[in-house]
Amino acid sequence: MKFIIKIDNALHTIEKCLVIAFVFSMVLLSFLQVTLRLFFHSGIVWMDPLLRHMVLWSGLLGSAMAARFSRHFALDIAHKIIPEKIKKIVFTTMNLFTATISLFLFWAAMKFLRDESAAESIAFHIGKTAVNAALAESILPAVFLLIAFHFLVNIFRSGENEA
Amino acid sequence: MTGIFVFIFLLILAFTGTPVFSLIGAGALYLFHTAQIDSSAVIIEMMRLANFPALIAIPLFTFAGYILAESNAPKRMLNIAQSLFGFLPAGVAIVSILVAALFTAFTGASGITIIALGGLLYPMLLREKYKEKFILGLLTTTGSLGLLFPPSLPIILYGLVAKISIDKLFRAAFFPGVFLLIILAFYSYLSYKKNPETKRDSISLKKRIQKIKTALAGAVWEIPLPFLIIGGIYKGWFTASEASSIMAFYVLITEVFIYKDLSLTKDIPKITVKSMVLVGAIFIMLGMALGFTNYAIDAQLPEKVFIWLHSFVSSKILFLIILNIFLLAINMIEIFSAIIIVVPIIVPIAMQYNVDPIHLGIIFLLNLEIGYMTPPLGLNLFLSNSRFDRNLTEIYRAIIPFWLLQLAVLFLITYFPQMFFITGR
Repeated sequence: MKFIIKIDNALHTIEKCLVIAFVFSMVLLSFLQVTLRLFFHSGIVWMDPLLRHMVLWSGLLGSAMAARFSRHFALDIAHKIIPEKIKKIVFTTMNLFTATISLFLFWAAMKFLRDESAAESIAFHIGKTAVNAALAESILPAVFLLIAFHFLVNIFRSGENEA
Repeated sequence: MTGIFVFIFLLILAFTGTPVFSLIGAGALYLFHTAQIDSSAVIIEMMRLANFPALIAIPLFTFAGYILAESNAPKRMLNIAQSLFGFLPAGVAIVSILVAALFTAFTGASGITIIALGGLLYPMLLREKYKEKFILGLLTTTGSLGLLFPPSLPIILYGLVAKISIDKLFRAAFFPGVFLLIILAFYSYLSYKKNPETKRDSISLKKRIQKIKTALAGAVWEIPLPFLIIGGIYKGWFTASEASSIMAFYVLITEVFIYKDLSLTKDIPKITVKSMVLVGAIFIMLGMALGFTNYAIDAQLPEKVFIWLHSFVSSKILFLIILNIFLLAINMIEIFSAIIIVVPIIVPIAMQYNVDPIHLGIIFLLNLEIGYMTPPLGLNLFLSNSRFDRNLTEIYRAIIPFWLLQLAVLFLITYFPQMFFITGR
C-alpha cells in the first residue's frame, strides 16, 4: 500500500511542477499581450489560442490536484449528518463511484483523441509551427486517469489531506 | 422509467458527499448513451472550454486574489480605512464593511474573508464596545459582501455560463452593490447611536493626519490597484480578462519584489497550487456541465419547464417571487455548482417571462450573497462558528437583522430595477 501512496505522491509532484510552470507562463505571456495592445496597438496573433490552451491545461491539472486533496465541490452537509458508524462505507462507495465515472470519461477522451488524430486537426500555431490537436488535447485523458487514480488511493489515505 | 431511477440514484449519491462533477458527468454519459450518441460527445462539449475567450480571467483573478490574501495587504488596507474613517460615528463598523467588501471582491468570494479578516476586525469592534451580537452578525454578513463588485469570481462565472458580457454585468452590478453597502452602513450607524457605550477614535486632528499619512505611505503600491482594476473595467479601457492579467502581474511584482511579504521560491508555488485547486474544481464542473446542459437545451428542457410553470404562474411578479425562494434554497447549499448547473436552464425560462439576463444576473448574485448566510446551512454561518468559536444558534440569532435588510434590498432590486439603473443589454 505504501508503494501505491508513494506513486500517488510522485504524480502529485509532477502535477504541481506543471501547474506552476503553466501559471507563470500564463501570467507573463498574457501581460505581454495586454501591454502590446494597450501601448503599441498590436499583439501576437497566435498568442490567444495558445493562452486558451494553457488555461485548459492548468485548470485540468488543478482538478487532478483537487482530487488528490478531496477538494472537489460536494454537498458538505453529508459529513455532518452521516452517522460515524457507516462513514467509512459511504466514503469508500463515493470514491469508487467517482473513480469509475472518471475511468468512463478517460475512455471517452481516448476515443475523442483518436478521432482528432485521424482527422489530423491543428489546435493552434506557435509562430509558424503548427501544434497538433491530439497533442494539445492529450491532457484530457491524462487528467481523467489521474483523477481516477487519486480517488482510488484516497480510500486508503486517512487524515493527511492538507494542501 | 430508468431515467427516473438513475436520477434518484444520483440524488442519493449527492447527499453522501459525492463530488458534483462526477454526478453531472454520470448524468451526461447516461443521457448521451440513451440518445445513442457516442460518449466522446461529452468530451467534445468539454473542449468548448478552450474557446471561451474570457476563461483566463478565472485562473488569473483567483491566483492574484490568493496572493493578496496571503500577504500583509489586508492589514495595510485596514490601516488606511481605520485612519480615514475610524473617527466617524460607527466608523469602525463602516470600515469593516468597506474593507470586507473590497477583500471579498478581490479574493473571489470563496469564504476567505471571515477567516482572514475576522480575526482582525473582531477585537477592533469589541474595543469600541459594540454589542457582541452586533459584531457577530456584521462579520458573518461581511463574509460574502462585495460579491457584486469586480473582479469577484461568481460574477465572472455567471457571465461565462449565461453567455453575457462580463464587463456589462460588472457595470450593472455596481449601483446595487453600493446601495447594499450604504444600507448596512446606515444600520451600523443606528445601532451605534442606540448603544451609549460605543466609542470612536478620539485622537487630535494633528495625530490623525499623521496616522493617515503613515497608513497611505505603507500601502502606496496597493492603493492604485482597485482604482486601476475596477475603474479600468468600468471605463472600458480593458476587458475583464485583460484586467485579470494586469492584476496578476502587478500583485506578483508588488508583494514579492516590493513589499517582500512573500518569497518567490517558497510561498508563491504553494499559493499557485492552492489557487489552482479551486480553479480546477470549478473547471471540471464547468466542463462536465457543458455536455449536460447542452443536452438539456437540445431536449428543450427550459421550454418544457416554462410551459409547465406557466400553467400555474402567469405573471412576471409571481415568477420572480418563486425564483427568489428557489435561488435562496439552492444557493444556501453550494454556490458554484448552483451557478454552473442552474443558470443555463433558468436564463431562457426567465427570458420567456421578460426578465432581462443582466437583471437576472444581479438577482441571482444577490441571492447567492444572502444564501451564504441563510440558516441553517449557509457557509458563512459555519465559518463564523469555527472562526469566532460561537455556537450556531447564537449566530443564527445574530444575523437576523442583517439577513432581513439584505432581503429588503433584494426585494427592491428584483421589482424596481430602474432604481439601480439596470437597463438591460
